[in-house]
Formats: sequence, structure tokens, C-alpha cells
Amino acid sequence: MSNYFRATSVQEAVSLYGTMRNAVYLAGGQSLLSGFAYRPPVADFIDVRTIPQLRQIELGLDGLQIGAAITLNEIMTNRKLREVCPVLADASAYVANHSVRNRSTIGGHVAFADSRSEVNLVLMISDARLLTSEREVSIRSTIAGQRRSNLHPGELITGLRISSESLRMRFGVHEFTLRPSGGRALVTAAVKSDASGARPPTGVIAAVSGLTPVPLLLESTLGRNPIELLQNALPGVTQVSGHHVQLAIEALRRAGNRIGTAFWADR
Amino acid sequence: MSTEHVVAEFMLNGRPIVVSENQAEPLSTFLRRAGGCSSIHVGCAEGVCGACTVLIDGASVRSCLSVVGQVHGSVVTTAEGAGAIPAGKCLQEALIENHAAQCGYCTCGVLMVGMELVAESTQGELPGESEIRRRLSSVVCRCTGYEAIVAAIIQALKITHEMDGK
Repeated sequence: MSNYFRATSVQEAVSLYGTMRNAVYLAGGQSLLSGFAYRPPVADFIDVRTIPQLRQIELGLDGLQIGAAITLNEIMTNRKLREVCPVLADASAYVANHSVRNRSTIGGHVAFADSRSEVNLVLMISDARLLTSEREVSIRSTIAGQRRSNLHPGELITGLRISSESLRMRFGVHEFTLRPSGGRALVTAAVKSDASGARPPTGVIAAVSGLTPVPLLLESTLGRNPIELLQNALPGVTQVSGHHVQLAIEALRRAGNRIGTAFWADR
Repeated sequence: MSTEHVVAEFMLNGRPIVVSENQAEPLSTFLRRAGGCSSIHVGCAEGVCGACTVLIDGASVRSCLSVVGQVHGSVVTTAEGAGAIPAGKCLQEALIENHAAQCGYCTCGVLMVGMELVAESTQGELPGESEIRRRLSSVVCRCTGYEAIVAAIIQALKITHEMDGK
């Protein structure tokens, strides 16, 4: 038998969590409740979906802050957000279908830590910061493995922040999937360049999911394009079929084409 | 302090509903068990098939991926209540005219997704066929091949738009 509690503030959600045996935070529920109608779990659901703090989108000097309970459809239709961070809308459009995106939240994506999530991949390459009830932390250090995060028990994701510096970059994303409307991605690639699209910035310039338990983050090396970087990283990757690698290379190429310049050209 | 004993109150097809127990029950189960909504078909229970789709405040949502407590304060519409809404009535007629149902298992899901689209388009531009197909991808139909469904939605969109224009 499960229980349901509606929290009205972050503080209340966290303190409720502490008093329950099988507590689990519930937002959109699109991953959490999957299969639930046939296999009811024993859980104390703490609904955080309507907490006002988790429902805000703010654009300020320190970047873009998105509340954890903002849905993917809201990300896709919010004019301000689309303008300053179009890649997040592009990535969201790949997720499941319209009806699921009506409920699926950005914070839920991070909490579920699906390493093949398109949204998580874009947040990782954007170097997003995760805001929680306890701290602010890099999203890259949060996703530790397939459906494994480094969040503490009871720690509630309240939002995400993408820095102004990151918002000035250009991003491209492309994925391949078997079943467009509900299936998870086979491989997804995201790339990043400077504002002109001409040169790679320093640090991570590309990210690929679907080949490894956590997305491969490809660091810029002088004179190397992301496809070369991926090929260099591959010997360390085991149990990946050649077909997946070819898809990943093609996804990188297409993601690159979206911000297209010579930087992405094959050598 | 929000606790389990706080009730969930919502409107279901124009009828007020108060749930005081087991708000963690899947919405799909509740609607079939206590809501009199046999239109809710739980095909996959994991959000893929779309046969359990309902409208929550006008937005299409998988009822198998929601719990009752989550619809507190909302307006829930199922196929049983669609005829009382102009967009729903118009689309129902268009689906019949275009023979857009075969086995019928997915039809109520199609109706919900289509109603959302028709209602949205009254406030803006008519969606193109590719957008209609993208939206319909959230409901799996294994009989019709979608052609008749797309034709029905296009017809309903046109009729609704013309009525609004007058």
C-alpha cells in the first residue's frame, strides 16, 4: 500500500521525507510510475510538482535558472527559454511524445539519472549546476552511472542553472532511436562551439550517450575534431557494437551540422 | 502540514469528485474502478501505448502515469465527457464519418490527443499534417494505419476553425 503527500514547500517536502519509511519524491512521475498500474509499489510519495519554488524560470546576470518541476513542453514553448537556450528545447523534443512531455519534468530527468537521457546530455555539455535543498553541485558529478546519481537520501532537486558564459556558446544535438514516440535513444550526440560557431571552446566540446554507462565527455584537444576525439576514446569502451559507433559518429556529424563550420569537417 | 488525510478534489467530466483515501492509486485504476470511465484502456502501463490518455486541464496526460492525488484542483476529461465539449463533439463526429476506428482500443486515446490539438488551434494557427502526425505518435494504433484518423482530425480542425471565424 502506498501513501501520497502533497508538499507545499521545499522545507516541508524534506522534513516529510525524514519522517517516512519508504519516502520518494514525485514530480511528473513519467519514469517513476512506469509499470505502476500493474505492479503497485510500496512507497510514500511526496508530491513536489506544485511547489512554487520549483515552478520558476528566471533569467538573470548569473544565467538561466529553471525550476525542477518545469515540464519539457514548457521548456519547448517558453519563448524566453527558447531564445536563450534553444538546445534544451531541441533535446526535449526528442523525449517520448507530447503527452508524456506534458508531465515529464527537467528535475525528474536528473533525479532519474538515465544516462541515455537527451536532456541530461545537454545539461552535462552545458556544464549546468544542479540546485538542491542542500547545495549547489555540478551536474557532471551528479550522474554516476545508469540510473545512479550521487544525490543524498532526502536531497531534493530544486532547479538547474546554466551560466551566462554557457548561454553564449552554440550547441547542437542529434539522436538516433528505434521507436520515435516512446523508446529511449540508441545514441545521442551534443556538440558545443564558440558564439561564431567557428572554433571549439576549451574544455568539453562534445558529449555522446548510448555507448557507455555515463555519457562520454570529449575534451577539446588542439587540432582535433569531435569525431577524432570519439575514435580516440573508443579503445577504452568495451561491449559496444560497431553499429552503435557508426551511429554515434553520424549523430556527432549531424549535431555539428546544426552549428556547422569547418571545425566539424572530416579529415 | 500536508498529510495523507487531506483530500483530493477535482472535476471529472463536469462532476465534482472528492477522494479521501488512497490518493496514491493510479489515476487509470481509479477512473475505471470508481469513476465509471470504461474508456480508460491500460494497454502497457508504462506510458508507451497512449490508450489510457485523459485530458487534465486540457492537456493530454497518461492516466497510468499519474496518481489520483496529482489531479487535485484540476479538471479531468475522458471520452465519457468529450461529447459535452465542442472540440470533443466535433472530433467524435469526424472520427465516425471518416471510419477512423477499427478495433477501437486506442480510439479514446486518439480522441483525447485530437481534442487537445483542436482546442489549441482555436487560439492560433491550424497545425499542419506533419504536426498532427507528430502528436498522434503518442497513441499507438495497430489497425488503421492512421490515415483515417489524420483525415478526421483535419476535418475537425477545419470545422472548428470555420465556426470560430463566424
